[in-house]
Amino acid sequence: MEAETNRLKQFSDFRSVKILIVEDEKALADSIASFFKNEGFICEQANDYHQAFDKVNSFDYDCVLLDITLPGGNGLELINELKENHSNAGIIVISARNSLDDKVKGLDLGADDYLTKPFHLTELNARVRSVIRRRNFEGGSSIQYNEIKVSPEENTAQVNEKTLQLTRKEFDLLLFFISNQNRVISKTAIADRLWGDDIELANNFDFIYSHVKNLRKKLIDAGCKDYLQTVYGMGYKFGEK
Amino acid sequence: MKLLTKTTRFYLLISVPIFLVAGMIFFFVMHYLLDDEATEQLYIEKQKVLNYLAAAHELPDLSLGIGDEIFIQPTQSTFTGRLNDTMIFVASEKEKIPYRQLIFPATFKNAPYQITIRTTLYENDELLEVIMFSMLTLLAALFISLLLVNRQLSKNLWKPFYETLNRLTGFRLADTKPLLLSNTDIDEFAELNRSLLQLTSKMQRDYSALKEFTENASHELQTPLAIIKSKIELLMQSDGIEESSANQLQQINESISRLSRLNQSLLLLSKIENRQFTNTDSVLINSVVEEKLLAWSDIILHQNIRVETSLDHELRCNMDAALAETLIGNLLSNAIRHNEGGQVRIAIEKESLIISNTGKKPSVPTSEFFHRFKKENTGNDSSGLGLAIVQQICNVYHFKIRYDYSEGWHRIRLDLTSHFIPD
Repeated sequence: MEAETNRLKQFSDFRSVKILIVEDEKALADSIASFFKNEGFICEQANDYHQAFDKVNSFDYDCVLLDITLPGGNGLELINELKENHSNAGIIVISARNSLDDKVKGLDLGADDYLTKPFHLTELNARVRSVIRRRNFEGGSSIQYNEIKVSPEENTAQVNEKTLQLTRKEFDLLLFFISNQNRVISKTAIADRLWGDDIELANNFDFIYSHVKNLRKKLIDAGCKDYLQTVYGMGYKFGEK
Repeated sequence: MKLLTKTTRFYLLISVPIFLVAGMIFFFVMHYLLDDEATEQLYIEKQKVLNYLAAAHELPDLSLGIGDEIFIQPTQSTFTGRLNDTMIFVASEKEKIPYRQLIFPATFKNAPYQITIRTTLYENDELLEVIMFSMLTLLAALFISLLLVNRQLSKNLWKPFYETLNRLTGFRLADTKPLLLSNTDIDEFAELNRSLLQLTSKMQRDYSALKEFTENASHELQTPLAIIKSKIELLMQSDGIEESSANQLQQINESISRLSRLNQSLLLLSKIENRQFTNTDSVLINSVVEEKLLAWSDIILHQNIRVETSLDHELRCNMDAALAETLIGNLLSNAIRHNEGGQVRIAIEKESLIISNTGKKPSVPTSEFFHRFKKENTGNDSSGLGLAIVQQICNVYHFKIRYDYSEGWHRIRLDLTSHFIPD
């Protein structure tokens, strides 16, 4: 419970965040909604193009998660609709198509990010938070978690105002952890985030372990409390015990 | 052999003997006619001489015989007339000339005479020569003009066929454009074009249906995978999961990731096969290699792999940039994977990229590594599609690739000689 309060306190900027999930697969939309409700977000769902069209035209959202292939229309057209409404919503396209063309087209139309199915909810969470942060603070924001301060745009992290010497991957890892506080983050999710498809190269997850170990060591050496916990068999959790 | 060459050859084969035989027959007929004419002339003259002798009072003076020569000589013996050919020396020509002579008996004023009428065959021969020469010239002219007409005719007749052939060669199954064939008034070719049009449009329909199916099937698979993945993650977030369940959840999670990657690889493979990568960029192979090595530097470090590079020589290649990255990425990943504590050597020589790595002796022939799902040790995380994708890319761009193993080293040599001309 204490962790929950902490999360809400630290992420007060996100307390009233409203998300629209445009996804025709109800089961997937439910999973996403369930995950984000736990984050303290308000979630609405639209399961086809017309529902989505109505919602986009009637309400304001902080972030719209958009599936491209929808019954009744193409999700990409909804981006145009949002742009015409001068909506301030961040747009993340979620597509089963991992084609560069779709990605480029989506981003050209004004989507903020593009995520290919299947994805990790923790990854989606990190992306949503990043998009909202960029939208709300026009890029100049940083995330404060107790003594840790992470500035995603400058790629810097500080503990008690002291800058940490992190590698690119360690910084990415820290950002991923801090975006998913008190969540179980699976090793697969970390692997996909840091190396994408290249993870096939590393024979096992020892590799991830060594990265997490290095990050933890750097944090503790800088005088940070140990927020990283191993969740046996699954992965890691970042937050106060 | 070209159709035109074939017909010309056929025409020559038929017409040359015909012309030869016809020429020979003509020669003999002419020869016979002229010969016969000479003999007939002699007999006509014989009759004239006999008529003359019957009516005349004295023998004609034949000392100034111009043209055919007639000799009248008194004779004692009786003999029957005869016709023969002979060679006689002619002073004016300074050579012997062929003559035909008719020798026959006649009586004048009750005295027997031997009369010889000669006619030269030399003029006949000359005439035959002239006739034959002009005939042959005519025949040759006819022959050549027929040949030319024939060729031109064939060319014109087969023009629609060659046009169709040309269009057909330029036809790409992956194009959405239908095969465009020009109209022709030749029924057979019109029929051919109609059939071809039907055939190709059906092929295109089937092909795009298959392509769509492969892509859709692939995409449709991703959605249930996404659902499973999200549900597992939600499960992971719930409290009180036992250690054994946690392990199983994680294994399911990993398998889904693997399945999804496999699916992506198959989709990529079919896209390459379908020639769906049509961009052509001038790709600097050196920088692709360097970028990959940089991106994987932590993996390489963690696996304790020693990488030696010799990339001084610049190698450029005209191909799709994304495919170039996949090609080189898959080759490098093949060298790095399962090579803990080993060595990798990357070299660029002229038009070739050579990647060698230490490793166990392969149990299957090295060429089979390019087959789908062929892997050295089953049960590892690799999809077994990496080198199949490499092979497919090489097929598209006509690159040569070789995989050798000797003395503990696996060696892949990729020849990037770009003789590929994009459509």
